[in-house]
Amino acid sequence: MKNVLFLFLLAAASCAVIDKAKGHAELAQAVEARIQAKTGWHEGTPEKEQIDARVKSLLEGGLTFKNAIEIALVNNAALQATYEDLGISQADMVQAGLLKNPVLGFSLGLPLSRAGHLEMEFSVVQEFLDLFMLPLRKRVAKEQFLLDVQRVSHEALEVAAECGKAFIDVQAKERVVEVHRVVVQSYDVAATLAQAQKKAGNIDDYTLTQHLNALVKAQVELSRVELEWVEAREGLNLLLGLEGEQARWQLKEPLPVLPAEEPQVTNVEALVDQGRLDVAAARKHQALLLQGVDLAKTWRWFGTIELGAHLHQDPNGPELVGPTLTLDLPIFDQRQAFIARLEAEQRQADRRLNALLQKARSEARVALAKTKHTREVAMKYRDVVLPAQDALNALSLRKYNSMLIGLYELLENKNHQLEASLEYVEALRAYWVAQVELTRALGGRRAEAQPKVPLLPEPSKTKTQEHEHHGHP
Amino acid sequence: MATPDDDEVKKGVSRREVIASTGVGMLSASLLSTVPAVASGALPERSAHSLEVPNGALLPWKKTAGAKVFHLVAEEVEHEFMPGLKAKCWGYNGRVHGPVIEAVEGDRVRIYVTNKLPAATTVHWHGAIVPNGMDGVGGLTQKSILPGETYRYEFELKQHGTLMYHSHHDEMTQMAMGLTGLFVIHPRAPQSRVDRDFALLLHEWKVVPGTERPDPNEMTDFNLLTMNGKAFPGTAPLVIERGQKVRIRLGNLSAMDHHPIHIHGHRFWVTQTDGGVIPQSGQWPESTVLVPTGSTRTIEFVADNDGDWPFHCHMTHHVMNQMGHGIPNMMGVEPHGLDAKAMPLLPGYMTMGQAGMGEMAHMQNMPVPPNSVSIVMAKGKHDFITMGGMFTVIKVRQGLKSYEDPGWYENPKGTLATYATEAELQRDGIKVG
Ligand SMILES: [Cu+2]
Repeated sequence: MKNVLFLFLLAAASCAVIDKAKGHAELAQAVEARIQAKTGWHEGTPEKEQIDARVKSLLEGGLTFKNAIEIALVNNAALQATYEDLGISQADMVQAGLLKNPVLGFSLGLPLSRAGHLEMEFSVVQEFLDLFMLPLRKRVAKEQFLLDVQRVSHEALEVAAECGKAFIDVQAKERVVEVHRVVVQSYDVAATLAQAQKKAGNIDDYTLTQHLNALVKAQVELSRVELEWVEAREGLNLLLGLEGEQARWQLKEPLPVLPAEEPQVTNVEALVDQGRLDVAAARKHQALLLQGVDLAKTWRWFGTIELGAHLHQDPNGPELVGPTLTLDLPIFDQRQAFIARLEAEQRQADRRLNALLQKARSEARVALAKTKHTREVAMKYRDVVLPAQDALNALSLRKYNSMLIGLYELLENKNHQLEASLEYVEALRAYWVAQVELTRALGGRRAEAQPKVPLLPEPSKTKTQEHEHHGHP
Repeated sequence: MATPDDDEVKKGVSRREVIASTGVGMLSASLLSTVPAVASGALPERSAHSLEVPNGALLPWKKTAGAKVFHLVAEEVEHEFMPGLKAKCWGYNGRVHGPVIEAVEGDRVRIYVTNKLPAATTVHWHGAIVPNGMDGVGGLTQKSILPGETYRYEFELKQHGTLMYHSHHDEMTQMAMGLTGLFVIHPRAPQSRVDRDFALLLHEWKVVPGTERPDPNEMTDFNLLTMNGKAFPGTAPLVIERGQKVRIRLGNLSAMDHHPIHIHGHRFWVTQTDGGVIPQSGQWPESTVLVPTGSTRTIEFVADNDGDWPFHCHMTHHVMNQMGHGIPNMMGVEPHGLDAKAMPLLPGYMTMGQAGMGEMAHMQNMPVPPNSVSIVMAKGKHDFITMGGMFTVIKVRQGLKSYEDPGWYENPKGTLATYATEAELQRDGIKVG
């Protein structure tokens, strides 16, 4: 009998081995399927050197949208901390599969007389009920682990979305700085003309001062947008966990133009239901609680199930609890209050799932609408406003050639053109941000459902920016 | 001895031939077609009343019992101010300005006016002594002629001289659009005989470059100044055989400007106004005659000096074409630093005007607005002619075979300003710094 019990205990313990990669592989797969980016964590916590090497290779030849996200997935400091939840959760799971260690009662009686002999008592006490609870506990812990994998994957997608938006923001701000440099050039030309006119005796100090002031204002505006650009870069660096030399990357690609075709996204609400991992985690949580209620009811006459909760305090993530099970004997307390509490918690989880679903669907609908609207706006700029501005520029040059207008008016037209290109940049930025938002709101998209980033150069760039200088402070 | 008789005015050229040769008759919806007034071909016989209208036409007429019958059709006309510049104007009988009405003192004229405009109109016989109800002032002396209607004006010509006709209904718009013309009445018994008798109507317009219609709302900033509806180099030269006695009748129906018209190489006598002949004792010689708006002035001179002589308004802005008047003053501006900065920003830009407008003539390869003309663009014999607008050339020659443009004047040796040689400068003690 004693041998049988011992074998059983061994069997229960033997499957309880910690696997470093467990959870990370599933997470990597979930993330790659949803945003086509690799986490770099699929084998569990990488060494610092491994991370550095990966970041270095991803920064090679300038930063791209995809690489920025992959850097964030491996190097974002907060996300790295979150990944460790998988280790904790797995440990919990393994722990749940272990019987309580036998209590070794060891007492040493000191002999009171020479005639007495050393008495030694050695007893193995195994709590009987623990054996009954073990399979249940294992099942719950496994579910909890899967839930944690979903939750951490969701966190990774959130970070990826933030990073995507920050990257687009940097691309846009870089263009804004470039255009503002040309604006300064334009005011500089006007000021140069004014100075030449003043030197020739053709204008007074009043008019000259107006032109010089306008130049200074344009320079101040440039320095303001340069600061915004620096801030945007720093924001992205923080998300990417980059500092020092690594933080001095250059963008490999300018802000992309519109994709030739808009990916067809239909039935967003169903996509949200199927795709979002926070929804999946909340569902699993709700199911766990339901199971908890059943267990408590089943076992109320034998003892009590204590559903210990570990609460995650991440403000963006779902509130999740993981049960731990212990039992005691229902001698005084038959657990009616406890069951009522569990039932209330289960209903609460139900409501929270519903609230989350409503919010997620709403986000997805808004994001989809934004992609359509911003695409239309960007197309208007691309197809109508910018060509019209180019035409106006050409026509104003014709007028100039006929001496119908002067250089000041040419420059005014140029400035209007530059304003329009700034508005176009904003329209493109809003479009690409909306695409990232949509991916996020849907809980990811398959590669074929993602917008195809065109490889063509920015159309307005060739026309309006041919003479600007690249390079950043 | 020719007398200013009806048949003489028609000069034996059958109307059918004239229409066939010009094609004008096809264009006009008028019962009577316009007659080209600039003689061509062989030198015509000298006549006191072969009125010539450079770039213009005479209004044909027919004799009926008791009256000479004319027909004016007011209508929209696609008018060319000069090659490269057209606009939708309002005119008469397919022309801007309307054809010159030519008649003889004592004639009874019956003038039908058909309105094919989208607006009501009238015709006022400017300077003519007519019964009040024939004066053509919309609302005051008659009902205005509605679109599609034809009115009849009939009166006896009690005077002779250079008169005009124009719309007198919504004048500001309709005259700015071109509804004007000359009305020449020859004396029954001419006192002064001439060999050549030209009629020129002065006008001003606002045609924004790149547009196709005059802007009648303009009050001051006119950019197109014309003689018989043409701006130089669109104006036809006045080709004259040396020794001919020349009369030029100048009328002015500009909206807001008077024009001092100046002749080169000659002086003239101002012989008539729109009030008639100035008594001999009141005439004086000059080279510039001010033609106020709403007035006519007639000058006479003997063309006794061979050459190509400008005949133009002396207001300098009136000899420019379609210039922008709000451009920055670039005179004396040093262009190099400016160009270095501006050219990269504005491809195709080049600083201009730092030494004036003369260089504009050399910039004809640059793209300009459609339907517009350069400020100054005519190529002359020696160089670009830096003139435009209210400008034409009187070409005086000996031994002309016809009155067609004889080309540029060949200056006899020693009569052309040329580069001063070092020897010449030394001879005359001229030191050039
Ligand atoms: Cu003038």
